[in-house]
Amino acid sequence: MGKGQMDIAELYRETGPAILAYFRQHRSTRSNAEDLLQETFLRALSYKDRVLSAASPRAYIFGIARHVRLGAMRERPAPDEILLLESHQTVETEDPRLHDLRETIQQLQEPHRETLLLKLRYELSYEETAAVLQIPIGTVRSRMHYAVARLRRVLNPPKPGNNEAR
Amino acid sequence: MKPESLEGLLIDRALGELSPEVTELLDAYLQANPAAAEQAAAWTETWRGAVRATAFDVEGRLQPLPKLKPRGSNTWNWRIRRGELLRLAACLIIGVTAAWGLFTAQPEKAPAPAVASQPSKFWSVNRLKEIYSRPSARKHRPMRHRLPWGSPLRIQKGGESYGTSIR
Repeated sequence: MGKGQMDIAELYRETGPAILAYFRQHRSTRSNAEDLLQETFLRALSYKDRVLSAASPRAYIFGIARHVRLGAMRERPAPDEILLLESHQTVETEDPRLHDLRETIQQLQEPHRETLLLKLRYELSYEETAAVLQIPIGTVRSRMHYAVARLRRVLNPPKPGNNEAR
Repeated sequence: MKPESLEGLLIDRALGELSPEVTELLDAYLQANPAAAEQAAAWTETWRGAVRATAFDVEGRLQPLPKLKPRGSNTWNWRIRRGELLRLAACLIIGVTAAWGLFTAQPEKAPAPAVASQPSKFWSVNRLKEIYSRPSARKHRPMRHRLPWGSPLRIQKGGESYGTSIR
């Protein structure tokens, strides 16, 4: 096993679970997600020099995963994201506002939701998210601010006459 | 500080996107402004709630990475290349043998024709004179030395009748 493949293997171990979760978020079955995961790392092997020399190899892998996911969706439209409502069994002790938050995230427009979830679930920085989505960092920041402000209004509904709430 | 600017900074702070220096300055500002600190706590609570709401069990056990050979690898695989090399070697041997045979073979010299090697007298004038001087050679003399024989018949031409053509 060469050095390049060793590095890709290490990247696979580090980011594989997150990439798998990313596909699981969009594809319903685990086997589909695993196929897409393998496809992602096969492509990463083809471009291993670029991946390993990228500022954030993790973000680069996410970018490949996103392309793989979009390509798979073109071939066969995916069912709705397994987000939140179906996959989370509400526990009785859970804060009921979390359910409202999930619904709010579900209702966000796709660009905002995608940007928010890359940060929420995979802890990508603004810069990494911009690299994945191939958009300016300022756009990432504004989308994040919009989405988080929406979520805050769910948790802290604006009181009448409060100028802070937008 | 403008409320819009503060709000942006507080969101970035909750998301952990501020540099340590800016975070330190902002924390100092929040200590001096309880209202802003309350807002900061609200943004942080919002973000933590969102993280909890989207916590997702991905069954993150991965299959082991299959042993793959990257495209363009420089390592030489003798098993894959063996047949290719044998074919190449066979072609090379055949080509070299054929070329060696072509260059080393001496072309056979054809014997020069005897007629061409010696000066021919067959068509010489002396030979003709000799032939015509023989008594038996009269029959070989040209037509002008013989008596012409005029035939009363000749081949008819177009427009002529048999009556006119017979002399």
